[in-house]
Amino acid sequence: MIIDHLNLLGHANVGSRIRNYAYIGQFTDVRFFEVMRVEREIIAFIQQNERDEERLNELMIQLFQRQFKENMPYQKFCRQKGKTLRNVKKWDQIPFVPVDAFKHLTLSRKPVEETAACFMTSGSTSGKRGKHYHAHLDVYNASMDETVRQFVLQGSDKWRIGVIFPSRESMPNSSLAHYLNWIYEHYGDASSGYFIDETGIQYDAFAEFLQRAQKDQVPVLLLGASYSYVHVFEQFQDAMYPLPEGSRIFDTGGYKNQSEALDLNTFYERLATMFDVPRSSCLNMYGMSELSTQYYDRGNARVPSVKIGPPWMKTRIIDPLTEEDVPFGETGIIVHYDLANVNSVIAVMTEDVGYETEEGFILLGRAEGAEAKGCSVQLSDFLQAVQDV
Amino acid sequence: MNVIGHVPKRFQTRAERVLLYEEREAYTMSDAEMDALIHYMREEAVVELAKHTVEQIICAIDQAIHLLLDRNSVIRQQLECDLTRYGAYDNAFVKQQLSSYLRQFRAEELRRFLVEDFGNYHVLDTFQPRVTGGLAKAYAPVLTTHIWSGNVPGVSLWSLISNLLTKGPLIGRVSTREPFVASAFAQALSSIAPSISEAIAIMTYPYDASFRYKLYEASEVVVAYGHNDTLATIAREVPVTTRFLGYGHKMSFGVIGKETLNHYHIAETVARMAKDVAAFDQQGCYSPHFFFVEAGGKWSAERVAHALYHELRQLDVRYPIQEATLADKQQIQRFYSEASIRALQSDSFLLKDERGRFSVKYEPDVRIEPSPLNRHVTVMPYEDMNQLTHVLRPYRHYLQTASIHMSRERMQAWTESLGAIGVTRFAAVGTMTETKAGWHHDGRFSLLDFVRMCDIDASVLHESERYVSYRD
Repeated sequence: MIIDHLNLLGHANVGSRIRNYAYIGQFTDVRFFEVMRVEREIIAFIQQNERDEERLNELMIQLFQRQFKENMPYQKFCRQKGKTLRNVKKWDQIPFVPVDAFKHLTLSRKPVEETAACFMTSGSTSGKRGKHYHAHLDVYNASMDETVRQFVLQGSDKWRIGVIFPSRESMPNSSLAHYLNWIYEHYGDASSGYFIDETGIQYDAFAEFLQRAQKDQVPVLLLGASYSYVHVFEQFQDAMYPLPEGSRIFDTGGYKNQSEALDLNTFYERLATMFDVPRSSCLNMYGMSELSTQYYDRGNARVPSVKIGPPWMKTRIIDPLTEEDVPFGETGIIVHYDLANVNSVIAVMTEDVGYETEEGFILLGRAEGAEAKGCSVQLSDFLQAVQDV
Repeated sequence: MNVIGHVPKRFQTRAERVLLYEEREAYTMSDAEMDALIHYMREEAVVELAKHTVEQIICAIDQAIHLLLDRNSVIRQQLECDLTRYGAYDNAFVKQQLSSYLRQFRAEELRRFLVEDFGNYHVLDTFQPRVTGGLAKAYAPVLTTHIWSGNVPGVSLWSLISNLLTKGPLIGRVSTREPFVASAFAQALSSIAPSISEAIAIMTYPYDASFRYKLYEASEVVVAYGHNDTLATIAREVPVTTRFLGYGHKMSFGVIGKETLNHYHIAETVARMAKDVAAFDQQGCYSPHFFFVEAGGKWSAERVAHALYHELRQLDVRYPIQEATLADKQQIQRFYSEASIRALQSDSFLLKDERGRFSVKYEPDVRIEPSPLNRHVTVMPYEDMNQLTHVLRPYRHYLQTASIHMSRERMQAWTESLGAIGVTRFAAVGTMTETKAGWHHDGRFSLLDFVRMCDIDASVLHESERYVSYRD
């Protein structure tokens, strides 16, 4: 097998190549070595954490080529769009899949049985959950670690962390559980803790944690889903738990039918008031199971805040029908290109609406269902009716 | 520019105006004035209308409609201008469809409506003999509230004219997207028969207007068009003593028999299918979401899908669709995404325009395939009628029009089966959006639903005979 591959590579001096590979030991399959090389280069690029458009393009195209060759459903999808290895040369030519594709297609380069992790979407609207398979979590973790250090930790390596989101063990298919657990494990000090169990948030223990931090005058990092905080508001009502200066509050995820929706302004006002943390230290993370990298803002003094991504992410705002970029600043559908999505697909089209700004983009939310113009049944109503029937 | 809407003369200075478009205003009412308007309608306008015979009202409506049909009249030209400027449809299409639509309200057609529902429609004027021996008279509702919605031009005229024919005064809340046709009609009528147009008030008011309860309570009938959720909200607010007529959203479709799929007929068949899809950009309750094409004909359903796609392309050139909103585009894009994923997993395929302006999806299985509208339709092959009735049956309350395109002999079995599962109208393909006078909208009566029948039992006649002054 090695010799076949070597012939493909066109190497004349077979003898010395075999010697080289024997030296490396376990990498006796050239193809496997090539594959790992791309992923190692991606990790290196991530850890470098510097804008380099040319290099990013190079890596994205290389990764796309792997995905095209090794992921059959994706290859068929690309061919359907008339895209092949020959005509995809720039990152924005990489065909994007709609988030729904993760529900219906298996988008994995590695056979599913051999993958290390599967993160599932929450299935908020239609019930069926999308599956994002990760062959291994090296790239995912590298990306996550880099952005967390840059946006969440603000230079400090150790924080007193309070988590009000379920543990990774109780939600093995949740990317968010994995993410929060990572921060907790790597950057939480001895006084950090999870304040949630099968019955829900442990409000008393959580209150105690907050009060002790104030007594100790140690700044705190709170981690939770947006709806976790909404539950906390409902429980604590107008009680206040002021936190020491330097504390930060991290939220993510939106409301997803879990609880009553608060508008952004009210939400951050309440956070700021209840915990005495300035809104500029209330940080929102925008992520999804279909991606491997997250976006952050620089606080929520003004809402909606601008979402910023690291150098290995690209974002486009497009017209969903023509699939072309809308003029700068105009509203359209958000498409992400994530270099860290090594096992699945780089480019994902969301159902989110937003517009581009100088630094990043503003997320306006899910598009509302189309307004009925005539007396013909709307698609969205119909899907609702199908569930009832 | 004239004001959108119409109010009785004495209210013209008392009604308020609100900006509906950049420089167009529409009539609206304050709480206090609405009280006065309701009182006027129930006490004066209804009495005035009752002094007219049905024939007089038919003639007045007929003349007003002819004014609107006259392409040279100022009212018609203003109407066309408004519809194309503020509406969502292409100019050429509007001109053509408007005239075709208005024809349904000419005198002969109106008489068809009346005969269809009443038989002897003098019953609206005086007590008339009943088959059972007594007498009956149809009384107008003292006040009817109409709540119109959507942007399909002219939908408001159905209920407006039906109401007028029964001699009932009305207050209509226009759809902000298409307030023009009803307004134009009222204005035309006021130039011909002011005594009748004085019984019409057409205006806008916010959904949460506090006077709406008063309006529902004061009305004998409330007619509403719209989304099922909207209808449910209104229905909850309408008191039990008021009759509520709700027209919700519908899903229509077509069935194409194989005898029409030969080289001789195919061009016409496909052209008509495309016309049904493109008319009003599929927004009407009678617009088809999908077509079932019989397998085994000389042209397969797949070929029909391709041909239909090309027809839609022609129609896009002649009657281009307007730019969709972002939400509409997303809905269409979702339709495309699902179709492309399905295409990877089955023999289905999607033919779509590069700019997403229209598409035809071919789906090999018989399924309910709702459309995102705006000229996106699905074609499916079928072999057996039972396949269709099986999938359609659960959607009874959504079914409305079915176009049937096949021989007369075969048609009978189809009309019986589909009629049984809830279809309320069978139309020739190509005419789905052209309803005819006297049709039962969603299976309901147009006119009978408005009136209150008053019976005089035969026994009363018999008894009173005994005491006549000229008795023996």
